[in-house]
Formats: sequence, C-alpha cells, structure tokens
Amino acid sequence: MAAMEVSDPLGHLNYSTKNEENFHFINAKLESFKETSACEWIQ
Amino acid sequence: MIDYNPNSFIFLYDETNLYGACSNDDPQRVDGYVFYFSHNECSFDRLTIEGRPDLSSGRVLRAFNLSRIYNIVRQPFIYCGLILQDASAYNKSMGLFLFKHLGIPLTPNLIKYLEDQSNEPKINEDMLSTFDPDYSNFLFFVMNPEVLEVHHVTPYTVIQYCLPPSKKGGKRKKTKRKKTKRNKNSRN
Repeated sequence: MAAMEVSDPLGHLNYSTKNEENFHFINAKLESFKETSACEWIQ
Repeated sequence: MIDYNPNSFIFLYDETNLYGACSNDDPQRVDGYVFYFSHNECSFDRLTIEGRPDLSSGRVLRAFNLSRIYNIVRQPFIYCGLILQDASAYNKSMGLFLFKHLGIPLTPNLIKYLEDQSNEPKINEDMLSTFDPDYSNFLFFVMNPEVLEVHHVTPYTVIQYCLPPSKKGGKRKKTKRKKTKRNKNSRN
C-alpha cells in the first residue's frame, strides 16, 4: 500500500534540540512549567 | 545512561507553545534487532489543530520521535521503555504492549541492554511479561512502516499508518450503534 499524499497538519511544528534560535524561548517555557510539570529532568 | 547535557533533549514547539520534549538517544542493535529505549517523553502545552482532536501533543511527540528514529536506522525497530505507572494505560492505548507479545527470546544480551538502559538491577521474563498497575512497566512497540512504500517517513505518516487510531477519532465520522435489547438469557 502506498501512502497517499495529503496535506500535513503537523507541517508548522519545529522539532529540534536547543539552538541559538530557540534557546531563550525553550528556557522560558521550561521555567514556566517548572511548578506544574515533572520536567526537572530537562534542567 | 542518561546524559543531562542540553543536546540530550529534542523539543517540539511552534512560535508560541512548547508541546513536549523527549530524550535524544540513539538506537542500538541487540541480537540482530534494532532497539530504541525511550528514557523520557513529556508533553507540556496542549496542541490544538482544528478538526483534529486526535492530534494531541503526546501522540504527535511520539510520532515525531518514531519518524526521527526510523529515518536514522531505515529499518523496522523496537521502541521500548520503562513506562511510569500513571502513563502505562495511555501508552497501551498508543499500541505499546508487554514483552511476551513481542515474539522474540529474552537473551542475556537483551537483559543486559534493558538493565543498562532502565537502571533496573535484575530483569527477568516474569517482570517483563506481567502488567503491574501499581508500578512502572516495561512496554514495547514495533515500528515497521515498510508497508508504506515511502522514501521518507514523516510524523504524520506515522500517525496515519503506524500508531493505532485515537479514541478521539480525528476525521473519522462517528457512527451510532444500533441499540438492541439484551436477551435476559444471554451470557454476554
């Protein structure tokens, strides 16, 4: 079965490690989740 | 072992939201099979895509992770992890299952690999093949998109063809079940 081409609803999402472009955004987001989510393992 | 440097994690985000993060580990070959042990996967902001309630941040993060690994190894692989008690039911709904359903032998090499990855000291077949609702469970998933006949597997093709459908349904139309009176004598 060949996958049919369809518009990708996930095409706008970024998936990457921290880099110069996203560094401050991701750090700020992680800080905001500190008290509500179990994400200490990322720090 | 988990490495806590900043490049150990991959983040899923757009301009305003951080939807999740997962550990940036490499797959490994054990006994001729490619294994990927997921140490961490955590979703944060809620992903909202109009008309697609099935595309939750957790499901989409898993799809990005599976497609990333597949495009590295270019062959079917076994995704596994020691899944926290609270997340076990959710992961079972995403197609993960106990070792006994994997259909491969538990060799000393594989035991060592799972012990090293999970930091669990003494792994045995019983431990891998019994679901304990009060503790973390080792769960497995076979990622085999070769049936798709596509050159590059994208996260969306993983959602469409590799993961079990979400109970939230996506674009599938709801069908009403015909109500039938249950026969009092029926055993069901």
